[in-house]
Amino acid sequence: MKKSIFILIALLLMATGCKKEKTVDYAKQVIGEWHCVPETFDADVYLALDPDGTFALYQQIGEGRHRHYSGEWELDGITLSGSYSGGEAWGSSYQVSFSGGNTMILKALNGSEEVMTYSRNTIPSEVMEGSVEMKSDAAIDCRPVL
Amino acid sequence: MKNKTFLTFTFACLAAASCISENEAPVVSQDPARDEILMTKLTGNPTAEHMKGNLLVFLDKETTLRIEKEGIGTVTSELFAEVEVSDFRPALRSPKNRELARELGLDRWFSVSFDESIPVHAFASELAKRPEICALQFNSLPRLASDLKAVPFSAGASPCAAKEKSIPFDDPYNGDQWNLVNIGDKSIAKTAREGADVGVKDAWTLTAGSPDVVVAVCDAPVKYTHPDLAGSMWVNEAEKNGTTGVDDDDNGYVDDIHGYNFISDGAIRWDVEGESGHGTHVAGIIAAVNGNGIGISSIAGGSGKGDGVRIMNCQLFEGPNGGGDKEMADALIYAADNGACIAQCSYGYPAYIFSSDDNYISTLPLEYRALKYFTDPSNSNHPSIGSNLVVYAAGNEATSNSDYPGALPVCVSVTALGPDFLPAGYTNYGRGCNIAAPGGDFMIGDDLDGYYNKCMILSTSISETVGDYVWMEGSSQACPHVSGVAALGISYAGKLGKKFTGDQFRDILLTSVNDINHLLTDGIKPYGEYTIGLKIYHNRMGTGAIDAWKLLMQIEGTPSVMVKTGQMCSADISEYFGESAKDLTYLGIDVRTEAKKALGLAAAPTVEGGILKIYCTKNASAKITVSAIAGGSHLGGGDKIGGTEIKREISIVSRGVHSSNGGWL
Repeated sequence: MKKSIFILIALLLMATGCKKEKTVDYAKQVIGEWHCVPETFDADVYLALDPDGTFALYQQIGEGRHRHYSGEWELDGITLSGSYSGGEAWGSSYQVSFSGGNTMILKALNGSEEVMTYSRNTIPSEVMEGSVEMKSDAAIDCRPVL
Repeated sequence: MKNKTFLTFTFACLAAASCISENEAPVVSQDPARDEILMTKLTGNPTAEHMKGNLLVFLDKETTLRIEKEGIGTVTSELFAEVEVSDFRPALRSPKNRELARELGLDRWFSVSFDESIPVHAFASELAKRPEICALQFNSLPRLASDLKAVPFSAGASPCAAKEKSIPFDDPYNGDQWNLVNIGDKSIAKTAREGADVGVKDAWTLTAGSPDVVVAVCDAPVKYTHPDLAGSMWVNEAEKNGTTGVDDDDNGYVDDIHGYNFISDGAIRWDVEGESGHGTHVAGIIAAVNGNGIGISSIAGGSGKGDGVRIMNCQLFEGPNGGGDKEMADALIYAADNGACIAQCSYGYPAYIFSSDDNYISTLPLEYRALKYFTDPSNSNHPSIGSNLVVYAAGNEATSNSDYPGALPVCVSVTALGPDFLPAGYTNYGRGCNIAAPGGDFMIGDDLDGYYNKCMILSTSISETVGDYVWMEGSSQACPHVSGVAALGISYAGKLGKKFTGDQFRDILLTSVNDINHLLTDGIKPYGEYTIGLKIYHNRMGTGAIDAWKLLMQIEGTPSVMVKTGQMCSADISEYFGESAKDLTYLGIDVRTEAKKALGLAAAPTVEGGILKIYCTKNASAKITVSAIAGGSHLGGGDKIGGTEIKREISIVSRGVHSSNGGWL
């Protein structure tokens, strides 16, 4: 009898868990300000995904001030993609997943398998105010050799 | 006594017999054997203008030691038993850094003075016979890199003064300072170009100077009582608060409160007839007090709170008289020993005198060694820069070489631009020139009803002779723009607590530039009644036009170059080498083994036309070092005149994700 009760409770819990998993609203969850400090690179990146479909990116790669890029993003299911304000597409689209409410994992879908972890974090005002505005379509940092 | 009388007579005869003027004459005498000895020891350039009645001699070590032990008197009587000398003393006043001075041989140079009526060559021939004298140097006379034409400023007469102020300081005349902020005002010149300035407006939001940065203006007198300069003068507190006529700080110089007069050997003075105001003009470009409600603004004159850089004056010209390279050397050593981290030198020896760096070094060894003393890391005078910086004017002979010593790799040589961002008609260019800056060019505005002076540079001057504010032009004026921007950079590095070696700082200075090569193509520049072809200047004005904002950004740090893993990439490196990166001559890339491994380099990276080509096979970041030439297509040094090697460490980030605009996502 006791065994049957335990099984029943376990089934109920599993059912509840599955229900919660299915109800994650990715579109809501991705919105906010995120911070990425990758272990393998000398980089400090802040990303703001706004509800109106625009983003602000503040990146410090190596030395110097944060560089500010902006543009638009969209989420199709669990695939995040976007373009910079000059029309240039992101280097990849990303598969989004979450670990708890405050950690977002972006896995590149361009075949590189690159994975970056972002934590929910307010962008410091000094980063925003001190940043250098980038003309998103102007800087040519690297291009394939034809 | 008989010998002396005979020699004096002989010298007099030689002088009378010579049809060639002293300064043009080659080394000649009536005694070939004696000349032969002289030629093995002479370092002074017989064709260069030099001081009469004075020679510099380099003694052997033994004699120098004897002088130290026994005093100069005994040795003097022995050395000059056969000639009459009026004075014999160490060429330089006891440099503080004795160990370095000894290492450079500065302690072995002595100055010999004698009757000016005796030809220097003949006297030198006689001295050359002494075995204790290893070398002799004529005390050559450099000249200021300006035509010294000073046009008094007339407040309110200019069309520009009424324009909306584009400089954020309350200084009434700064509307006429296109060199600081150029809005392309056509009343200056029809060809005036917006942005043809030193890019300092935005830089002032980060710093406008710092009092711990001292710039030695080695030049004519700086009028330290000028109301627009008094607050920017370096002050030797011990002398200011000490006793007049006494060397209160025991540095070998009496009453050197704001610097020293190396010509009169005393106080700085600007009351001599013929005084041009050149030094005061140069000082005002660097550090006229900003925001004091009077006169002009300057590059590093502070924010109006007494926080600008400081000017030390090493007076090397006095009215029509100028010092020789002994005085120049003394001034550089004084500047090093008393706290200057930049030597601002708008003078030099005309480009045609020297055929190579070696030729200069062997001709003027004393001044060269003084430069080495000033720039030696052990004499660094600011915590943010590992060795002091020397900036020289490129010269105004319109020839394709820099003047010396600016052409030496140890110096920065500055060419001059007009408000049209084009080379001024007078400027030197080409070999040995490192960077360009506004120097003024009045010839481009001569059809504008007398307002053409506005194409020159407005700065402070001397009311007693030419006026409180005057227009001048020359590479003399371009030079302090680079010194001022460098001073701003050191101020900012100090503010951020950043440290650079002297070479690193010079290299980022020389790469903080805007491109002018795109203007130097097949076109012509109107020049009064004439025109000047621009193509000859292409890639020969140095690395480009100095930009203060870019320097401060490089001091903050330069972002990594981002490349995509597994793909041959071409990366623009102009953030590291300036806007003219595409036109630089690159010497090579140094990749350490660790970096090669970390990035998984499939082949050695290459660089050409400002583009780095690199193929990384691993996701990682690492640093490589790229070398290039600042100024021309070949390096100076040895038997050449040429550019300076600049090295930039470039951080490479290789990722699987890459956006062509450098964005992270």
